[in-house]
Amino acid sequence: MIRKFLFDEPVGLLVRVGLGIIFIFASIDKILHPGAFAEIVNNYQILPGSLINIFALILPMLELLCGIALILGFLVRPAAAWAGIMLVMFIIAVSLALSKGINISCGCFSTSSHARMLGMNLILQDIGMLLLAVHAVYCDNRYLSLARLFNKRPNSGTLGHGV
Amino acid sequence: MKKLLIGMAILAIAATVLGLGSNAMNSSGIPLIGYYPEIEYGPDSVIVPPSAQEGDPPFITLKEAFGKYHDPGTIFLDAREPEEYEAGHIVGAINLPFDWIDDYWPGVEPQLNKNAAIVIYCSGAECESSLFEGRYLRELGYQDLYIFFGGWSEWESRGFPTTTGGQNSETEKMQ
Repeated sequence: MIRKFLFDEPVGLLVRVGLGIIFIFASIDKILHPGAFAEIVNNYQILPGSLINIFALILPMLELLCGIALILGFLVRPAAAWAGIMLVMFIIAVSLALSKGINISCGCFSTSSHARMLGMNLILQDIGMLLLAVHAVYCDNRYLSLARLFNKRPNSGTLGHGV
Repeated sequence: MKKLLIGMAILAIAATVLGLGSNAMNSSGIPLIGYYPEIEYGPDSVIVPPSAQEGDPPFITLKEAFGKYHDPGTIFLDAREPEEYEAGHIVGAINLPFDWIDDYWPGVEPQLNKNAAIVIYCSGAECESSLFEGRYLRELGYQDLYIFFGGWSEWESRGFPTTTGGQNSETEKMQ
């Protein structure tokens, strides 16, 4: 019964769209303030200085594109896979920063330096989102999606087919 | 699987083009390679007290101490008085005042590990408690000990991470 619930199409839609909204929401402030976001990336003391700005420009755009793809329902599995990879990256980055005792704002949803500081609850939140991403990759939900609109093959809601 | 990887490549390329492209078009964009200076350590010389003897734990520089600070397995011990510790100490350091070591040891010992690297410091070049504490721990069988003789004064003067408060309010690492 739990299995039936997990693979239910509307449930899959909710997961997909929910994750997409979170990623779009997280990307906007970073795209608007790339300099401030680069500063936060530097604070983590993980990337070498030469890569920080390029990373700070590409990562938020990838978040935005993945969010849009998840909501509209095209390239759902690749977008969810990227979301998962990014979340694993965030979990590692936050854990490293916490273990070093670096006390910085997380740069998760806002580039303000007064925004939320790093903490364990952040890792738990990321792990929760990672579960959503894994679900979205696994289920390849096509309920109310562009993919289904353009490709009306039968049984397209079954597991793990195609992109 | 192949389709998945192709889709991921499409997203990555699109994000790169859009991210770098929009930055290039934007008059207030940022340079692709920013300027992030390395942290200045100052003169990287190790400070050794005159009373050092053969067989003492190694003395390390500020730079080495900062390197060990970034290694999660390393424990920092603050050998100063509790009042000094409360007024400010290296983030994550445990207070083991050498002058009260018998009183404090039962509380500190469970937090240590004989195989872990331990860095001991006190006020700076004018105090030797860190050295004495290092000898004390070595007698007890701790092997991987380091004396950061530049101590609190050198650490603080560089603006490295510090915090305030007593031992029992040590939730700092997980804030």
